[in-house]
Amino acid sequence: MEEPTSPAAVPLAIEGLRIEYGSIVAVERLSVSVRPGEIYGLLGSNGAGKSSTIRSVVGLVAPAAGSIRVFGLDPVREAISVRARTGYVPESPLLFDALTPREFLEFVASVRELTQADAADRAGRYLSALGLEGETEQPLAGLSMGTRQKVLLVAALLHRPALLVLDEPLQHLDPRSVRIVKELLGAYVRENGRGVLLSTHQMEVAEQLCHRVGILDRGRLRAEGPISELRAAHGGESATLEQVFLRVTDAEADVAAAVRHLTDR
Amino acid sequence: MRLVALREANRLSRTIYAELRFQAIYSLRQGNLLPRLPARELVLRAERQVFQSKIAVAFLLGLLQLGTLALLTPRGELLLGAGVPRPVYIATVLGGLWLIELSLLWTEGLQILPTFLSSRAVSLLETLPIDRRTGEEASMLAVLRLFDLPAIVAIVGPAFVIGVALSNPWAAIAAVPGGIAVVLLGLVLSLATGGFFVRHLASAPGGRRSTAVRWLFLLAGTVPALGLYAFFSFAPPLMAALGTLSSDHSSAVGALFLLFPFAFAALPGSTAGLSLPPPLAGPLLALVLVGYTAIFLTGASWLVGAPRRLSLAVANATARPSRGARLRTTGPAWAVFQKDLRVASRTPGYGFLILLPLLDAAALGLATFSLKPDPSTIASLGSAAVSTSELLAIFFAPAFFATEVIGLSYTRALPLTGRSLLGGKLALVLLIYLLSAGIVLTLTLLRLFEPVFLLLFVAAGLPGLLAAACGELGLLLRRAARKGMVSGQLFSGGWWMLTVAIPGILVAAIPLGSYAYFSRVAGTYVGLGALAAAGSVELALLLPLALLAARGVVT
Repeated sequence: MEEPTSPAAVPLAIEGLRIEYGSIVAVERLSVSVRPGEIYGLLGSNGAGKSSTIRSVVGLVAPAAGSIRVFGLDPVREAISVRARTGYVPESPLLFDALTPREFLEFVASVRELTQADAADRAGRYLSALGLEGETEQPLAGLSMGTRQKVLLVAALLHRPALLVLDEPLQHLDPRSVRIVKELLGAYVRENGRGVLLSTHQMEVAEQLCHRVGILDRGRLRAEGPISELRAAHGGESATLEQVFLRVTDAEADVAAAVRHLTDR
Repeated sequence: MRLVALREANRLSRTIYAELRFQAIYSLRQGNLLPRLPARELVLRAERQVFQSKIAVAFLLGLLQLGTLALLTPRGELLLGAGVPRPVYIATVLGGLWLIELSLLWTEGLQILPTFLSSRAVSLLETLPIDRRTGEEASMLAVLRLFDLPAIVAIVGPAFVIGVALSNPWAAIAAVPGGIAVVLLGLVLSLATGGFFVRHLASAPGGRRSTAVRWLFLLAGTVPALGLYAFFSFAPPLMAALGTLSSDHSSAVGALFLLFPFAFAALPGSTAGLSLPPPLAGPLLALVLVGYTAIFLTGASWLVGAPRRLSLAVANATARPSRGARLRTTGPAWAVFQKDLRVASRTPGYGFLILLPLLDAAALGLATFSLKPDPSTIASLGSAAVSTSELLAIFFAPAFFATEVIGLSYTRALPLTGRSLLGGKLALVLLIYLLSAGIVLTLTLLRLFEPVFLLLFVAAGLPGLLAAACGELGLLLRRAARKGMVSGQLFSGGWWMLTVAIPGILVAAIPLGSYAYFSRVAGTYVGLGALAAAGSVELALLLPLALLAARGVVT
């Protein structure tokens, strides 16, 4: 039997989450958790509710119902404390186009009240690992999406957060950087009961990186668990995660029909 | 065939304009958060707010034109233009109005440009199967739509004013070409200087030397505004000089009127049968106007391709290598302040908002300096310096706050407290106040060396300034928490900027009024005490409200 974990030690616990935009319900009755030392992947098609969930965890969207707790804290009522414990990489790297990566990281490090020594040391190591050393003095406006995303990753890691919240963190990155980030995240969660919540629609990313995944479809959680368990339950040992995903979201027939429609003359 | 392409360009420009309008209000591509409203409501709100802002700019132009009409009445002419021949006076006043309109349109253009460029609308157009010319025309028409109402008022208003003043409809029609030339030049200057700033500022690397160069470039960009301010402030002595010149050297005055926009301004009087000074008579004026028309037609042709060229230059900007980063950290409030200054140094629209009050202060200081003040006027000089600096800092404060739209979807995920946010913004307002007051007082001190007394004025004015800034920021933050953040520029936020700036100015005016009253009844030092005390009471009331409102935005 598993030891009960204190709420303050659980990186993330979401219960019965509902998110609305006017009359549109983006997320409905969602309950997931990220355990200490775990990378949890939210999988889903476009519009499944992944980004809405992520944004509610960092306090950018207030839930219409349900609760979210980050190490036992409420992201709406205890916003500052939650933000101090989390590092966030948004899906679209839209930020201060007029700042250079150095200036942007200085802003983030200062708001997070890091010491100069820590900020310089950590930024130096992450920038070097991600191959950004030569691009720190050019305004973000002139940098590629991938480079901007790497800058955001560095900014999210600067204060060594206990929970990393990453919205499609690898989508713009080159293969070298993808590999480095995967290794980095793997090592990151092994320390001090940290957790990572990431959203992706790239099945191979989830397969290689996540200890558990939750499959979202039209705002609802359709399946959840370690990938091996999902395979066993929805397709057999040899099934790929893509096959599992399509089966769980009842999309196999849709996909087949769409392909027929496109290829039929 | 060309007509079909133009119609297509017009159709595309409508779609681009709808996107520009949306981006101008919600700044999504600059990282702002979309308010949680139904899509239709969001679109309607953008449409409404942009229209309101255009009305605000058009209203401002209309006020200037009404003022001009007052100057062209017999009483106005007697007041300002005694001794100046009537045709010269009319052309000078109309030319002056056009110069001020030009400055406003130029400023508006520079404010709009970041919205246009950040929308990436032109990059999208490039992917469509349309020819280059149609793409250029569509981009240009979209830019024209951004200016439409102010441009119409800038063309029609002066014509109406001159028609009424001269009671001659032909004179009104003769004023239209000058209005068109002013609008055209405003657009050319906006895009040309905007292009320059994008190349030399927006993509400039970090570092102290580069920062200093960026601010110098920005300063150079505001010098024409200073010239116009000087024209505005020194109108009476200029008119007096013109009167003397007209009687002694009428040909010199005539030659002055060959300059833009005065040559165009001479046209309505000439149409109405007023005789102009010798060199301006008939053929020479016609020749000069033909020359200007040729230049403006070339400008118009350059203008058609400019928005597309500029957008693609931004989209295709490439990174220059650097040597790694050494981060320097500060406190959170200082980080907000530093970030705003850095953003402003690479964004002309924001940079000018910081530099314009300083240049206005410089113009005021120069005016004081040139008047050779008497020692007995030191108190009124001090109070004038402090009031002007305060009012300038307060008037521009809402726009500084609105830099927060940039990257908001990210900064709201940072542990930035309301206190730090407010502290950073107040520091910026304080900086402008201290620099403005410093400029005016330095120039005043060169004439009257009373440093302690003048510094007392600046210190006594501080609480009132901070109270007014807190009041404005409280209103803006409350609005942001309820309706979402809106960028602060003439195009998208002109209307609400006024609704925030006016209460701010009123808050600043109460301590200044207390000073005026008590210094009259009980002496200057009691007046200074009243200035500080009234400001402190306001600050004690408004600071907690602003902090409360700031909490609502950051959480």
